[in-house]
Amino acid sequence: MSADQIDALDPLANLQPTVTLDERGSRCPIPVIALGKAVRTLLLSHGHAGLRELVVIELLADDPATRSDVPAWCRMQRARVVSEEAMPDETGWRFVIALSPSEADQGPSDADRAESS
Amino acid sequence: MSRCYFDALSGQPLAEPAQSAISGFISRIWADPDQPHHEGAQAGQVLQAAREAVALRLGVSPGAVSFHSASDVAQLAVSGILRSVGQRAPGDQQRIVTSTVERDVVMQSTAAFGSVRRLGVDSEARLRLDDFRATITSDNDPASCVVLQAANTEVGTLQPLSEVFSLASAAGVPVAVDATGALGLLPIPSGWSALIADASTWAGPRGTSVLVVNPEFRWYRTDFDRGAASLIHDTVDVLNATAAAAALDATCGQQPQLSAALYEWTRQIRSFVSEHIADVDVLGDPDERLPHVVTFSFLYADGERLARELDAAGVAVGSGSACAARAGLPSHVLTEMGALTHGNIRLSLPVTTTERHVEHLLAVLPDAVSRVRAEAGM
Repeated sequence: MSADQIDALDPLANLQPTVTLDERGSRCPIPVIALGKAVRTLLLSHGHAGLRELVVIELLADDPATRSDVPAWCRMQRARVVSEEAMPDETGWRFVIALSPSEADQGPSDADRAESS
Repeated sequence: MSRCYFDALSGQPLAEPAQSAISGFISRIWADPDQPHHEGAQAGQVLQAAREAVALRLGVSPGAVSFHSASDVAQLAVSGILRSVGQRAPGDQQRIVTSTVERDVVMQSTAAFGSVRRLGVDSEARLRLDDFRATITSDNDPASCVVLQAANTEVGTLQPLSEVFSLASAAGVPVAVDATGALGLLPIPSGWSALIADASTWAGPRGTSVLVVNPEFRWYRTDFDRGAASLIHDTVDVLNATAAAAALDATCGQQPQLSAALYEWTRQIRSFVSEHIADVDVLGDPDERLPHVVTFSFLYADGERLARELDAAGVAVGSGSACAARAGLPSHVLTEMGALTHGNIRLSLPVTTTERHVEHLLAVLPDAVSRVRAEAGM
């Protein structure tokens, strides 16, 4: 089965991103910090109950460390990398990241941080 | 407040007997130990005593021990083994099996010879034994030599050396083990054909390494080596060799209490950080690890910034990916493990660590992490 076919089967693959972050030109950890801030903003807008709907974040980055750090961030924040693809002309990578409502509810640390700041 | 130094793996204060050896010999021992004249013979005797001290600790004969610079020891070990085993058939390319998480100097030395198969690791940087077994027993791609670390010096995880030795031995493949980080602190299982280790591991002079050849391994001597008192011609001066030997003797003499104390402190640091600091990857195996190493990746923190913040608070740590950061690439070890590559600091406790040092670290670490994260808006 080709990657395209897998994408076609994955219901998340063709979702429109809720948020797009263009972090090309920033060095790690800045792209990951941008992800953390985006999630914090979303959590604040959704209030105490946590995320009420699926959130899809598109991240563009060109620091090669993001290829390790984005999956590691997802593991620590219980999010998941839906896809990672190289941008044309070697200008970086495009990550699509999904946080589902239940996943975000289990990740207290960013919600706590959002409340305390 | 005096300084708290936690970067032993990149260098630590010389053990007192090593300092005495250097100050005692520095005005007297300067000649070439290979020369037959009186001055040379004196240097030769001091070098031989250093060999004997290391040999005694490792259970080998003095001739099996030689001293080298840290930058060429891995290359000497690998080239020596490959030369000794020879080609299986004329024109055959020799194959090295190693891991993806070796130290940079070892990675470079393997890349210089034959074809290299680098086996991946699990999320704690441990060699996957199944992969190793499959590779070492493969008939269509026979290995000439295995090169493997005793422990990963970036995160502390011990490699399954005993299993590797028995699999390699069954396949008739010699193993060169890099015991940097482990020798003097932990027993190294037998089964290696050559062992290398950097003396800073046991509070010897940094940049000086030992190379030990297993007496049962038929080591091929080059013409250059034939004149020496050991199997392999030494490539560092006698003072560094004697300091390395004196330090190994001193550190081994403090065992097993020393490693037990270091292990307990690193256990406390690991559990304190997991409990008191959010969003942190505590890296490496929690149990099967070097006694003095603990490594963290703090999410949203800049590792070098955090190391500077701690330095200002009196605590010296290694910025784990600092070496790779110079090249603008993430640490190859952290990448292979799937760990967070930023916010990485490595604590490696010197043999002189005390309770007070650990208390000071734990008192300043949470605030330092908070400050660095706050600067980044997190």
